[in-house]
Amino acid sequence: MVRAPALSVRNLRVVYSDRNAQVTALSVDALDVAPGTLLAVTGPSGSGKSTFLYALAGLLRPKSGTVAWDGRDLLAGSESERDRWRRHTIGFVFQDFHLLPELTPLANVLLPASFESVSAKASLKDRAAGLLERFGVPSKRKSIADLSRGEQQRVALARALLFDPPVLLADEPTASLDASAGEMVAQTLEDLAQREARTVIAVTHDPMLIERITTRFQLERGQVRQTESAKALA
Amino acid sequence: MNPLPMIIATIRRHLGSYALFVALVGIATGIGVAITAQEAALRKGSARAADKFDLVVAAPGSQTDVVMAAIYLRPGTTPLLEPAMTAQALAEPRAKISAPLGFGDSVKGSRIIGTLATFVEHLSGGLQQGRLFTAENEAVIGAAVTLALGEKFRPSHGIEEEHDGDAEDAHDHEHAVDMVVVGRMKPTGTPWDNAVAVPIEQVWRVHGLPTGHAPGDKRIGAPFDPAQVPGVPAIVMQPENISAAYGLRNVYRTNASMAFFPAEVLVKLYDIMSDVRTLMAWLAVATQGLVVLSMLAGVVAILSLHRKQFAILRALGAPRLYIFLCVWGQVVAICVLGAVLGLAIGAGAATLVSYLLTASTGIAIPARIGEDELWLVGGMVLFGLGAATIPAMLAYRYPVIESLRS
Ligand SMILES: Nc1ncnc2c1ncn2[C@@H]1O[C@H](COP(=O)(O)OP(=O)(O)OP(=O)(O)O)[C@@H](O)[C@H]1O
Ligand SMILES: [Mg+2]
Repeated sequence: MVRAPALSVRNLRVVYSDRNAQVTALSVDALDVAPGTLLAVTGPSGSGKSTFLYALAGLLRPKSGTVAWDGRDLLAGSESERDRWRRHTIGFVFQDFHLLPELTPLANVLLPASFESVSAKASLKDRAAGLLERFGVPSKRKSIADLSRGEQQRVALARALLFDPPVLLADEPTASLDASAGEMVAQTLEDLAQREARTVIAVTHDPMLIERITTRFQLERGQVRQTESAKALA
Repeated sequence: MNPLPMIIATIRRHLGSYALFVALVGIATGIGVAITAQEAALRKGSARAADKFDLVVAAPGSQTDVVMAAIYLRPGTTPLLEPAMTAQALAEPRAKISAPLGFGDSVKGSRIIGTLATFVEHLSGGLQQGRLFTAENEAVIGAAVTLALGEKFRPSHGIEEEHDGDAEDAHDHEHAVDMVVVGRMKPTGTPWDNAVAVPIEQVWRVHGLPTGHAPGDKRIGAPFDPAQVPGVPAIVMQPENISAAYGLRNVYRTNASMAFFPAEVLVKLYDIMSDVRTLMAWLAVATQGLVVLSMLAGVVAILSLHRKQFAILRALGAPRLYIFLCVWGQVVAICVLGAVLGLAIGAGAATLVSYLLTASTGIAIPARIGEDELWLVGGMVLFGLGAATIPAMLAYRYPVIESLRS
């Protein structure tokens, strides 16, 4: 069984520079997440939740501080090392899905496989098709544009899970889903963390999802407002 | 790693633009290919047309003019070789063939040229049909002349040209001589394919000149009576061998005559033209370069529309090489398709121009795609691939998160 890396964030500051102003979007002094944790990140709009996930995935360069997975600072390596690490370690579900409209739903799910030096094996194609089926996405559809938002969201989740990554970062993974699809996705996240010991960090507003997650982390204007866990609550 | 699906998907998405790029590259390449192929073919064709004309003796003046008139049968004024020189040259023992060329009238738009039967035989390398002329009123036609074997015709006077010392007054009606076609030459790929060869005596007689033989003598061809030989515009000799060729050239370099190898004249002409050729080649290369650069500018513009796509790929962990290949592969596709299209356009255009030139000059111009053209096209492709590395590397530099937000 894969072992998820432990996450450790220290003195993280992310600053966006607009034309004339500099906005501190995120400021996290210390956060540790043990492998196998299912963590919910909540907070009002604009509080820096997506920014936080980007920082964890090494997609942006913080102004200062460190994001370390298993003690290894993300910024220590080269950009191509980070690319490779991200490919093998992180599954990312974007808030806006970021599917490629040029490709079919199945090709979107298989996209990360085309980055590998060996071409996609048949087993991977089966896995991609299987994920779509499991999430109830009609597999025959030719175009992303033909899918509903909820279906697109599930394609994005399937893509993130193609390589069975040890860490899943999901930005509002149930926002566009109805109750039953939402339940199913929530169950998937839960299983990943609890049965497979993967680290799952989900940004969410969804009460249904929040309720099922015991470790929570609330952001407000880029600052950590509150951290709670089931144990602390108990 | 397999960026192909991304490349194909992007090209499909912008099929119109990419088709336009391929067309532009193809047309620019095609023009370059056509120009170089055509130029090479023109040189080859004109040189080949002069093959059978080893040594030419003519009145002093411009060698180029004589080549144009005698070999390419271009209309123009050529001074006549003095009768005494003419007689001496026609009796030259060191030449296997020493044939006068006299320009006469025309029939159905074909030039009538007076010469010897032996030269006709030499030029055509044996006839295609019929036999050589043996009497003054007989004619052997070029392969492309629209007369039939056995057909009778009357030469009509007054296409394009006059002759110096033309004793006859020009008039525009048919000469009252009946000629008959007795043979047809093989195709020679020269303007002679559209000419009608007759005995030189016939041309002399029509012009009211002595006919090279005593009055009443019905014989044609050599030997001529020196006292009865008038001047001619040019004499073609086929020397026995190389040393005879140089010997004869010296003998006929006199105050009253010049002698030269047409091949040398052509080499000089090509030499003069080679600057123009180089210039044209560079223009073709520069045009191609510019087109490839503007194609790249177009690709870059399309790519910047796709910043987000690259950001997504990066966010999913696409390696640098993958991003590079996505961009580069598109340019490769355009360049390679453009090159193929260009070769096709070039070959087509060169063939068409050849056809038109052959129709107007009679010189067979075998335009072919050769090594030079392949180098030209290959160079374009290499240049495109090289230049494409710049946008291909830039694509990796797009900031990921900013591009995702756009
Ligand atoms: N590239 C950027 N340039 C400038 N400002 C940015 C950029 N990205 C985000 N911001 C700003 O940083 C802050 C945090 O943005 P972020 O997207 O992380 O919020 P969020 O919590 O995910 O919000 P939402 O719930 O609406 O998705 C916001 O004020 C946002 O406007
Ligand atoms: Mg967000």
